[in-house]
Amino acid sequence: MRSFILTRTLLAAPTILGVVTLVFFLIHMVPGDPVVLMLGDYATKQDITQMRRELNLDRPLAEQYGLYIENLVHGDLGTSVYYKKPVLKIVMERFTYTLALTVFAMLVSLLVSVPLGVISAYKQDTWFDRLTAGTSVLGLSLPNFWIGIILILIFAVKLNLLPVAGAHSASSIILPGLTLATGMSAITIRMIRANMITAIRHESFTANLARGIDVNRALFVHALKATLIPVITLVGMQFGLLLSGAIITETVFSWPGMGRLLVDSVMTRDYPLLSGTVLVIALIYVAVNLVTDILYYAVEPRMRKTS
Amino acid sequence: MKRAGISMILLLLIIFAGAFAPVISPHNPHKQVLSLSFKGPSLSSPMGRDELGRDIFSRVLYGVRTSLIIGFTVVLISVAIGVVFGGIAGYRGGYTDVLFSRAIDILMAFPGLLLSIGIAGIMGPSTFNIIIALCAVGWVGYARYARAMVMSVKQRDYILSAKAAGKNRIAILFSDILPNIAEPLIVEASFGIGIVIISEASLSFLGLSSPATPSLGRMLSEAISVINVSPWMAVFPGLALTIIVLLFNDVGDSLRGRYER
Repeated sequence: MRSFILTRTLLAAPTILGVVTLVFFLIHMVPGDPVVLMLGDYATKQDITQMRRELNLDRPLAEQYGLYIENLVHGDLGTSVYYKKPVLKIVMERFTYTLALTVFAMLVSLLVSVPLGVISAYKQDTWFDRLTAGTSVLGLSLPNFWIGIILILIFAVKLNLLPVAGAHSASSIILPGLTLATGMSAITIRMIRANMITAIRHESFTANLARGIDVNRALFVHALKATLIPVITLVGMQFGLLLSGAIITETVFSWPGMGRLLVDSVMTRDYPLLSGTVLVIALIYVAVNLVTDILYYAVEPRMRKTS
Repeated sequence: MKRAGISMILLLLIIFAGAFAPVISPHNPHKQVLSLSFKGPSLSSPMGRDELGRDIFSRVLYGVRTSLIIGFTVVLISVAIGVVFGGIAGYRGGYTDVLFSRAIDILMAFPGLLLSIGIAGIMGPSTFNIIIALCAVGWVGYARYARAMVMSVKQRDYILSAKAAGKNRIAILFSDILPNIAEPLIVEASFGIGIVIISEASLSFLGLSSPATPSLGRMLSEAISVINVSPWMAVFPGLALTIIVLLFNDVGDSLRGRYER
């Protein structure tokens, strides 16, 4: 087990280095001079020279790269041009909001998809199953931001029940959370249904019923347990989807998370903040994938023989 | 089969509408008539008018056109890049494949749209940059797919016999292997177009598209701030987007079903 964790972590290292390198090059993809673009038309020559020095852009590329890595190791992601604060500090302040939103969405999604997936599998090919399948196809095709807008229209504008935007009260999380949960639920329902069908067809399910175990218990406790492993992997994989969905959802609802920060940094042409936010989100994703892999390994003994 | 046929016909109708948007649209999508701003749906403007009094129906038609152009272009380029890189990696194996797989791992380490947003955000708002940003990420899926397909196909007897006959490797890749992996690739691509269209709408929703090009995503972002005045500005472009994506997914599904049968 320990050796698996170690090798899997070591395997992630070149990926992380690659991600860092790619993000380093982002600022060099700016058409024209990034410093001039950031400071605008009214910047003096002195300002430009000073900022170029601060960003190390006056040095040769190899040296820039070396300094970038060195600073990263010390936890220095640069300084935001707009906020005039360290990038890492700003991103971390926003991280809590994104975490709250994604965890809320994940819980909502599991709360909806587990019962729907299980019942669809048990009532396979009935109207209930078809309706659920149809709704989940719709959920997959609906663009995230449109769901958000429609929810705003219904619950905030027409019914005046929930706040439109921002994060001023606890109920603010409901609409963005539901928006983010829709896409994930659609995929999770399908996955749980497919796995549950296999579990129901397995003789142990019939045996449980024959033994006099209540249908609900046989379904939701015994059979569901067998489908847990793929669901763990799925939840881990979905986290990436949630993270990138959060960028859009946060923008729709002005939710002050990392996604909103990223979009704002694009609008203010704050390139250090932009690259820093991209890097942090990508690294979180890599870490979550790593943990998912390890969890998968821990709960699935069959994996151990093959690896 | 019946449903797939209906989806296909509807999809062709929409593609037709997009292609002939300049002919079909009742008004100039850019023309501002401030006296008509926020006017609700009427006979001459079935989807109403927006903030600046522009005809929403005409803008939706042009937006669909933009979506389709970007969708097809990005998928075409992505498939081409993916097949070349994935094909070579799968065919040659060894170090080439290791190098390829490492590069893929790095690109896959960015969740969903993140890298596209980063690239388009850095390069500035334009249709061309959106295409680049989406291709930079989009080719990966096809490359992995092509690699896996080539790896399984290259062991077949007809490839071995072509090799034994002394046929050039590149020629084998293009004339013997490619036709055999084309069909599943087309199935993947039809799903891919739907995904690209949603991604494009997302990027333009975030303000990364050119303001001069009508696009469904941008229309939706303009609609948010005035949603209590004019809900139809949000409803119609989103509905158009959903229907297109739904149709592409449905056609993809039935193509896949037919292929796997």
